[in-house]
Amino acid sequence: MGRFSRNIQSLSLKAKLGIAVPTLSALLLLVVVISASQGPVGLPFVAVLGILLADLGIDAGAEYTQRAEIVVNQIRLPRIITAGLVGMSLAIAGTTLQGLFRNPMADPGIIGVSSGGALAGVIVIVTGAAASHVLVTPAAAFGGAMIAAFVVYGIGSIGGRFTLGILILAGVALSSLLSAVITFILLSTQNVDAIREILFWLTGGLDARLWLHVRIVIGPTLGGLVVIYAFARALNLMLLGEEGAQALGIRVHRVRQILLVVASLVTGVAVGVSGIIGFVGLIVPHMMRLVVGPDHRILLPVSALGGAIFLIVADTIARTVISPAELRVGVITAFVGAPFFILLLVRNRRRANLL
Amino acid sequence: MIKNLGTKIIFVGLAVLAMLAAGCGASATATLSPTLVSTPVPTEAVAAAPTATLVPTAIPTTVVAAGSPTVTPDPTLAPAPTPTEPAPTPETPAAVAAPGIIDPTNLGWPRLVSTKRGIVEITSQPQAVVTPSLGHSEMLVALVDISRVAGIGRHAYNPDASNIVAIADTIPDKSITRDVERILLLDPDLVIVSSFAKAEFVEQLESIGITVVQTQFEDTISGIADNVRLMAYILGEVDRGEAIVEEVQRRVKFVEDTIGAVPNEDKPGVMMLGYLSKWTGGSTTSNEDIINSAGGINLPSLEFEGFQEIGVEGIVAMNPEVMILSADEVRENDAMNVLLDNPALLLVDAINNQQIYGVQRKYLYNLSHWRVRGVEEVAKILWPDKFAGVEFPDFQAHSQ
Repeated sequence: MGRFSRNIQSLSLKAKLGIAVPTLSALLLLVVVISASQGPVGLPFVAVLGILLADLGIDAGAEYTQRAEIVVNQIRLPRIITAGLVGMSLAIAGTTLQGLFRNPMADPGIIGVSSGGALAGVIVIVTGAAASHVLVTPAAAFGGAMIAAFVVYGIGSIGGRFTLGILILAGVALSSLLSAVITFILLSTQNVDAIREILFWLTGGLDARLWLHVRIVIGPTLGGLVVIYAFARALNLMLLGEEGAQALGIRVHRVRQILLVVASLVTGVAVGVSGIIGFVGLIVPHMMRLVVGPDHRILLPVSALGGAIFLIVADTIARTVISPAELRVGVITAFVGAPFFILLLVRNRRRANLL
Repeated sequence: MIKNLGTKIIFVGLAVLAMLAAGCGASATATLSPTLVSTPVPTEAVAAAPTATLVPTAIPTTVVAAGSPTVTPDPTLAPAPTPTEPAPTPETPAAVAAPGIIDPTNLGWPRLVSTKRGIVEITSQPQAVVTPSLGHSEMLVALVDISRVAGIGRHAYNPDASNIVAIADTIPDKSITRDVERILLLDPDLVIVSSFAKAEFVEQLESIGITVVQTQFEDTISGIADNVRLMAYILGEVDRGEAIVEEVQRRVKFVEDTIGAVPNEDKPGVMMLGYLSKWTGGSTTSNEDIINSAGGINLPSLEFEGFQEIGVEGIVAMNPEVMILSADEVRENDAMNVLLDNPALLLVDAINNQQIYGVQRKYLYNLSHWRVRGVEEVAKILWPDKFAGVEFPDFQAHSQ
């Protein structure tokens, strides 16, 4: 791994993009196919492959039942694609925020994005608004994430000068405050169904995802990736520090605002369709950075692909390891992600100071 | 940060649900919902002609199915014994045996019981009893006069969870939480707590001189008799306890006899969904206990133990012929329509054949003798022909 990553990092940007992106794209495709062939309902791999090819308009001549087609197309694929898009969202948000704040521990929670989204989601669940339309929870999560992000950013920019330390501490303080409010709501609500719904939502999960969820999350995720990628060079320059970036022509304040909005958008929408799934936004960017280096022009696309692969794999494990019962995907992201992350850090400790 | 936030909140949430579960007895579906709304009619009912050996009466409101016609009593049918007949109170037994009773022949005072925390001596018949958990409260009001109830847990007032709302409403000032000061104000001479009660809570009660019995009840239909006997022994109501045990056993036998001998291959495969229709119980759960006793096969028991989260594909893989949901979830979360609207679930026989039913949660998830009502209601769903026209009455409290 170490030699491989060193070899990759020594390549030019163009070469990196030419190797890493197609490789990860192929891996993502493979993971999707394997994941689609796994599940409580036993289906022959050939049949699953035939169904997937038929979805693409290719008749492979494979024989399969209508039952198999429904299982793959109505149960597994929407879930897998939602998982991929959510993983992608969380990973690009994490990559962006780690670069933006020059903090290796940054993830969508550091600026209160997650807790803001979580509280907004809890409020619409408790008030019953979440049941009125499928878009209410994602919209609320996005709104809450945005408000929290700007409150923290506002505190961090008091006096007209942005201070990273203050922003991070304000994020920690706001997260604690908002989580206390969520706890208060949990303890005071008399509606046990609301409590259950909140707990399921807060633990994150991808069960019973429909094509509707794919449609909700696909636009903001891919759109967000494009917008953030447009600022990849600016993110690289901002790693030099605020003054250095300004000297090189970057409108730091403006870039920060735009990236905060977009990172909040993709995080909020992801949280809205899957609940809070930890670890993805933190560790995937680090994993990818260890492989391809800190240049956001390559880091952003590979993190997006890596996030998608990571969450699809984690969710596949979650829904098959104790099949036909399931585990919460957040349990798997922690179980798989934490040891792997530690291993990477130990093996690459000399380069672990990443930013 | 996400992880920290999630961990904190999940911890608190689980603690809340653990408290609720403790309050309810032992189920994964804890209860708090305060509203009492008549259960909607979820699916098509299967109502066959009543058999001549049963007394047809108005169908109870506890199980309702969409489009379900009510069964019209047929006056031409011959009357026959039903499980509603009051049981004669037996003579005081010479001994009463159940796990936890140290000396079955000692029916005087003081008496010793083995508890989760060791042996406890009860010096005289308790006159002011507090039961924070719902399961204990349901047994308490069945065993003793309401004047001896010093306090019951607040879940007893929740109509979705509690079978004793009517009697609980007569003692509104005695609703208690796990606040020791609040319990102290009620001046109890005995507090009976479940095995879920925190050690520090029990120790605090004991430290202020209150006798505490922490029971370790058997969470099965067959264990109900022992649970009731132990409670009756603790409360000095052995006769009343034996009457309840006799009624429980007679009702369970009525269900068994009515179903008759059915080969396993002819029993319907059943799945019971709770907790927002995301969890189901495998082996060693109350779901299995109720479904088995009602003449069905609990399909998740063939796959796993305990309560587990189940996904859409898991339901498809097990393919139950009958699905049973908590009626309150059907009502409040539109759980029935959520299942029916999922195109993939049309692969499931129960959904394709409209065999989804809502049963009141208070009958399905409890630790008291009321679980028998769950067996009766599920048996009626699984064997509509055999139970056509049968009315299963609720259990009575001591004061009723």
